[in-house]
Amino acid sequence: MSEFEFFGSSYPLQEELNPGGSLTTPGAKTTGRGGFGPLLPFFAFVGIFLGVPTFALFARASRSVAGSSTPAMLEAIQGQFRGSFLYSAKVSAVSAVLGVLVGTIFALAVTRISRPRWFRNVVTGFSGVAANLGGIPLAFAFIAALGTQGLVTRILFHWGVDLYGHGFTITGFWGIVVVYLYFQIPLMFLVIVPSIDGLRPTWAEACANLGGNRRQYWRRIGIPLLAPGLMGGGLLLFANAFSAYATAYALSSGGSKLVPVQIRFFLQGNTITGKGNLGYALAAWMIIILTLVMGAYLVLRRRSEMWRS
Amino acid sequence: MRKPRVPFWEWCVVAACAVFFVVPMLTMARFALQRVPVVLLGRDTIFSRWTLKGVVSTLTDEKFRPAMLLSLRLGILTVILVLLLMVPTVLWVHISTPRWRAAVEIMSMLPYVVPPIALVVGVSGAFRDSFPWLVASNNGLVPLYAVLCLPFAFRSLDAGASHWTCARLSMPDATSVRARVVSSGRCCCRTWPCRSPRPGSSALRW
Repeated sequence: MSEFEFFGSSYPLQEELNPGGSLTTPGAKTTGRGGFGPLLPFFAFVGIFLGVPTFALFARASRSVAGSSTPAMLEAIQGQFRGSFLYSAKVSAVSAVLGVLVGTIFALAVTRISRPRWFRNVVTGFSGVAANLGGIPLAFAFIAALGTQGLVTRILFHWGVDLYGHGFTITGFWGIVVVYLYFQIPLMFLVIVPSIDGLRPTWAEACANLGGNRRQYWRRIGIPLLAPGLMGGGLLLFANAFSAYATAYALSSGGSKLVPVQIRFFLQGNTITGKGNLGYALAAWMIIILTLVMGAYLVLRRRSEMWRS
Repeated sequence: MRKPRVPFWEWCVVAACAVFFVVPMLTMARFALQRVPVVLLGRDTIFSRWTLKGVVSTLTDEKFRPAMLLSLRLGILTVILVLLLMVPTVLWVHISTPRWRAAVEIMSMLPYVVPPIALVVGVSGAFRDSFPWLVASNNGLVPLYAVLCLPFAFRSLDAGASHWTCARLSMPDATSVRARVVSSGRCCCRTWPCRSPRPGSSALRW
C-alpha cells in the first residue's frame, strides 16, 4: 500500500488548492450545483463490497464461539491471542521504526544527489514498485537469499558468520522484520520525500546567517518540521506491516504467530469446527486497531501539509 | 566559484540500500537459472550449469498458461472496473460537487483500514450463504481487487483531475489566470465553467 500519491503530486497549482477540497476563493460560496446522483455507483460499490462484509464480520464476531458463552470478540484478546496481537504489534512496530530511520536517511541521501538528473526519478519509480512488492515473490526471494540454503547465508558462513548457528531463521522475528523492511523502506521514502522537499534552503541559509551550525539546524528547524511526516510515516508503516498477510504466510507456511495467519488458520474450515467466530473476531480487532492507527495518521498528515506550500 | 560538494556519503548510503534491494532479486534469479545446489557452490562451480531450461519449461507447462491467462484476465477486468467506477466519480466531484470530495476521499481510504485478509473473511461470511457463486468463482475476485485498488486509483485520478481542471482554465488566458492565482494564493477553478467570485473578494483585484 502506497501513500505516495498523497504527497507526490508535482502539479503546479495543486498547492494552492485548499486541502479540505472546498471552493477556495475567499468569500465565494461552495457550489453544490451538481447532484449526488452520479456518485451513487461509487458509494453503492463501496457499501456493498466493503461495508457489508465489514458489518457481517462484526456481527459474527460478537457472537460466541461454540461451547462457550463469552462473545468471540472478548475471547479473541485473551490467552494465546493476546500473544498473537502483541507479536504482530511488535513485528509491525520494529519494522516501522527501522523503516522510518533507514527510509528517512535514504530519502535525505537521494534528495541531495543532483547528478545524474534521472537518478531521483528512477529511485522514485523503483520505490513505487518495491513498496507494493510483497507476498509470495518477496518471500521466495528472501528464502533464496537468507533461508537455510540461501546464497547469502552460505556466503556469510564461508566468511565465518554462522547466522543459523546463532538462532536466526527467516521465519523468526528478525527474519520477518528484515523481509518487511523490503517494502517498508521504499514506502517511507515515498512518504517523506515531499516533506524533505518542503524544507526550503532559505531556512538553512537563515540559520547559518544567524550563527547556527548543522546540529542546531536539525534540532531546531529540520526535525520539528519533519516530525509530523516522520510520525505519520511511522504509523502508516505500522499499519502496512500489521495487515501484511501473504508475505508472512509464504515465509512460515501457515505456522506463524502473526494475527493475519492465525485468522486464516481458524477459517480454513476443515480442521477446526465451531471456532470460526474466533477468526471473525480476530479480523474485527484488526480493523479496530487499524482504524485508530490510520485516524492518527490522517491527523498528522494534515499537520505536515501545513508547511509544504 | 567554489566547486559544489561531491555527495560522497550520500552515494554510500544509496549503495548500501541498493545492495539490500538488489541481492534478494539476484539470488532468486540465480536459483531459477543455475542448476547447482547452494551446498555445492564454490569457486569452481560458480559459472557452471547456467541454463534457461527451467524458465522455458515453466512457460510451456500446460498448467502454467491457464493460470497466467486467468491472472491477466482478472487484472484487466479489475482495471476496467476501477476506471469505470472512479473516473466519472472523480471528475464529477471535481467539476460539480466539490463538497463531496472529502467524503469520497475518506471512502477511498477505507480499504487501508480493512486489510485484505479481513475483507476476504467478511466477504465469505456475508455472501457465502446468499451469493455462493460470488465467493466460489474466479470472477468474484474482481470487485474485491477493485476495492483494494481504490486508494491508489483515487489519489492518481484526483491529482490528475485537479491539474486538468486548472489547466483547462489557464489554457485560453494563461497569464491572467496565473496572475490571479499568484496574487490571491488560491485557485478559483474548482468549478467548471469558472464562476467568478464576488466582487468584494481579493481574487479579482490585481
